[in-house]
Amino acid sequence: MNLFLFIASILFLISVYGILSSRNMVRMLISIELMFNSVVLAILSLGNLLAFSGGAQAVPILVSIVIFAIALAVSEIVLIFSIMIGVVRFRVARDIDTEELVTKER
Amino acid sequence: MLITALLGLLAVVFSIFVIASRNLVYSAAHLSLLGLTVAALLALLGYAIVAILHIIIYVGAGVLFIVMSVSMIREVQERRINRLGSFLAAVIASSPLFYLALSTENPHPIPPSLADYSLLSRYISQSYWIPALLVFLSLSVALIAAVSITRGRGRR
Repeated sequence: MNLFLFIASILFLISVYGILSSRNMVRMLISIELMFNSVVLAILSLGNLLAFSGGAQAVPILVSIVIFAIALAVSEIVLIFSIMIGVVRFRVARDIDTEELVTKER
Repeated sequence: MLITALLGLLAVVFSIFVIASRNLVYSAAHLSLLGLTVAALLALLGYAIVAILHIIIYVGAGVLFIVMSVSMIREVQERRINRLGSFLAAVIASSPLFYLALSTENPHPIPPSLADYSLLSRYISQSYWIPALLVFLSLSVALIAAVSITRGRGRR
C-alpha cells in the first residue's frame, strides 16, 4: 500500500465531504484549500512512483507544476477572500442559497 | 514508515478539525497546521524545495491571510445539509485515489538530483518561462484587485 497516496485519499475524501455538507461560503473555500493540499501530496507521491519506474525525467516537470500551483493557489486565496470581505461589507449573505442568514455587518 | 504514519494521522486529525470546528478561525488555524504537516510529508518524499515553498508561500502567506480575513468577519450560524449523501458522494469521488493507493507500493524518497534547486530554476527559467510569467502576472493582478476590492470604492 502506498501510504502517502492513502493519506492524500483520506484528505481528499474529507475535503469533498466538507464542500458538499456545508453551505457556508468560507467553510467551502477552506475545504477547497484542504483539497489543494491533498492533490499536491498525491501528485508528488505519483512523481516518486514515476521516478522509480523509468519516468525520472517527468519529476522536475511535476515539481515545476506544483510550484506554479502553490503560487496560483495563494493568488486565488487573496482574490477570493478580498471579494468576500468586500461582499460582507455590503451586507450580502454569505450562505449561498438562503436569505435567512444575511449578515448585518457595518 | 512510522514517522510517515504519525504525520498521516496528524494530517487526518487536522483535516477533520478543519471541517468540524464550529468557529471558522479555528478551522483556518487547523488548515495552517495541516499545511505544515503536508510540507513535512513532502520533505519525507524527497521534495525539500517544494516543502520549503509550501511553508513559506502557502502557509506563511495564503493560509495566514485566510486566518486574518476570517477573524475580521462576524460568525453566522452555519447550516449543514444531507450528511449521509455528502459522505457517499465523497467516497465515490475519492475511490479512484483509494484504488491507486491500495494497488501501488510505498514509494522511496527520490534522489536529491531530481528535485535540485538549480535544476528546477533552470527548468522554470528556460523551459517554463511563459507559465512563470503568467503566474507572476496573476499574482500582480490578484494583489491589485485585492487592494482595490478591500478599499471598497464605489458603492457607499
